[in-house]
Amino acid sequence: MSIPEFNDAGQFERFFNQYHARMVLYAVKFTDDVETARDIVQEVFLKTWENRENINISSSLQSYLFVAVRNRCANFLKQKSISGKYTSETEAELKQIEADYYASAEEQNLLLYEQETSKKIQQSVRDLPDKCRRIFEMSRYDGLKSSEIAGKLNISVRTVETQIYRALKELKEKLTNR
Amino acid sequence: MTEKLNKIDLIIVRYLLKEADIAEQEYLLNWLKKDISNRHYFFAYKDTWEKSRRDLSEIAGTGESFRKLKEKMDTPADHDRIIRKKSIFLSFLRYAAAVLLIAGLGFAAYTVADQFKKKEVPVTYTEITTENGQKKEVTLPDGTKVWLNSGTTFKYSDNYAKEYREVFLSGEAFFEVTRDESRTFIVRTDNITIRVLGTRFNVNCYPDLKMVETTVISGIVSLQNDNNKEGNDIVILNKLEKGTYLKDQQKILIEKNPAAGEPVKPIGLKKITLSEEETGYISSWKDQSLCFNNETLEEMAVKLQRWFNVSIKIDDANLKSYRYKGKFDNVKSIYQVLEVVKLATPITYEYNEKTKEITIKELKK
Repeated sequence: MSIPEFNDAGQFERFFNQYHARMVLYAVKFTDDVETARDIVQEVFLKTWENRENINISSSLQSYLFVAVRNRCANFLKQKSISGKYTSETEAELKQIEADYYASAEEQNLLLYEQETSKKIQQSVRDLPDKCRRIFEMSRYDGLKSSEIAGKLNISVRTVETQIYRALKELKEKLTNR
Repeated sequence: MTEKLNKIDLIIVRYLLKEADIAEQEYLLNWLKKDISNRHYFFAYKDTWEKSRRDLSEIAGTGESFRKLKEKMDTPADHDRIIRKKSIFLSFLRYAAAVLLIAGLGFAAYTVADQFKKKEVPVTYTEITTENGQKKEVTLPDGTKVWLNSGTTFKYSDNYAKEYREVFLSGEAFFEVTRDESRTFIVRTDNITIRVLGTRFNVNCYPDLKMVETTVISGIVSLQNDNNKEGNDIVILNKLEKGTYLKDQQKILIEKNPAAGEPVKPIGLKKITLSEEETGYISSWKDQSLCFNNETLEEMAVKLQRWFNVSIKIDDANLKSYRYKGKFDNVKSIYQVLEVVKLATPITYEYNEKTKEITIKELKK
């Protein structure tokens, strides 16, 4: 069995550039941690390449890789849960619900995910009302806690949370009404 | 004016911000479990949250990852691959040398050997073996203790503990691994790879047995089936659990994990939970106790041969399936064992001076 994408260096690089970011972003949903997500995707690419002679791909290389990333992420969470890395049983269970959801999402949907979504979101953030945008950016991009934002802007924590909710709701609607 | 948020919307936001407390997490969990429409509602927000990361392609590190991947694809960096390459190359070398010798071209053989030298990354190993009838105790550079049962080969490279702690095992060993979360302890056998951070466990992987058994006395151990290419082949063992890899098994075994109530999907791997007593039986050899846990006479013979360095023949096929359970502390000779077994099973035995072989026979009434 040969995988055509691996036969030619140029073709492989194009393939990698086309799908790598999407795979990492998919993995992040499970792992919550960019470094781990990158490692998992890297490992999947490497293992697939090493076993390229023995792997029988019935669909496409990209869907094969997505499934492999998904399986590895599911294993990663399982290990994390069993080795007691979560602070509580509840947290572990919530993570499991998330993992089940992402694991069941159709691969088709994953492949549809385009760089454009990112651009669209960036634009939508810019379009938010001033105060709302500022709070959202401080939280999402600067990594500040709600209490820190509240302190800086001299408002209540609850107001910060409400504004972040409003921002998310707005972004969500922009994303669904394409 | 800011409108007031619903309780659940507030909790969702606080959860996404990783600021939800335990009571809020519990509330969210129950709410999610209640109805599928609740889950759809939640994931619409979660998805938006995930997609709102700044500059996705930068986060993914595509350029950097590609460079690293190319490096690995071009030069095998890891141990594993070097060893595999070496063995393929060695067998090629052997074959090539034979052909060349026949042709009488010694000169060309030198060239091959030269190339071989250039390709090798010099890794030296410390190898420790035990003969039948012999046991050894080894302390590794990080303080990890390893007990080797009879007829075992154990080795580790001089790179041990540089990045991770890797050892190779054929036979049986008991490990007491010093805890070091930054450097995983890895046991490689012919069929499975075992990974731990710090724990006590027993591995039985004699080449002549049909299975590889890993038994955990304390801590957590991860087992990976090396013969599965998909990568979803990892089984986690907790304290008092035993993982069995069946060498001849080609099918996927799905077995319920009794603790979690979830199916695990090992390939040719299964795990069971043991009592303290049973676990004790499995690792007792390191304390000089010879134990048989409901084993057949045939299995016992294999153990006895290794333990006492003798040769045993079972004369009657019927006898092979007799089972025996028992524990022998500080046994000095095989006759002590056979005498006790004789009381429970209808056997007799004789020792042949010439062939140095013990023959076990059925006791005729």
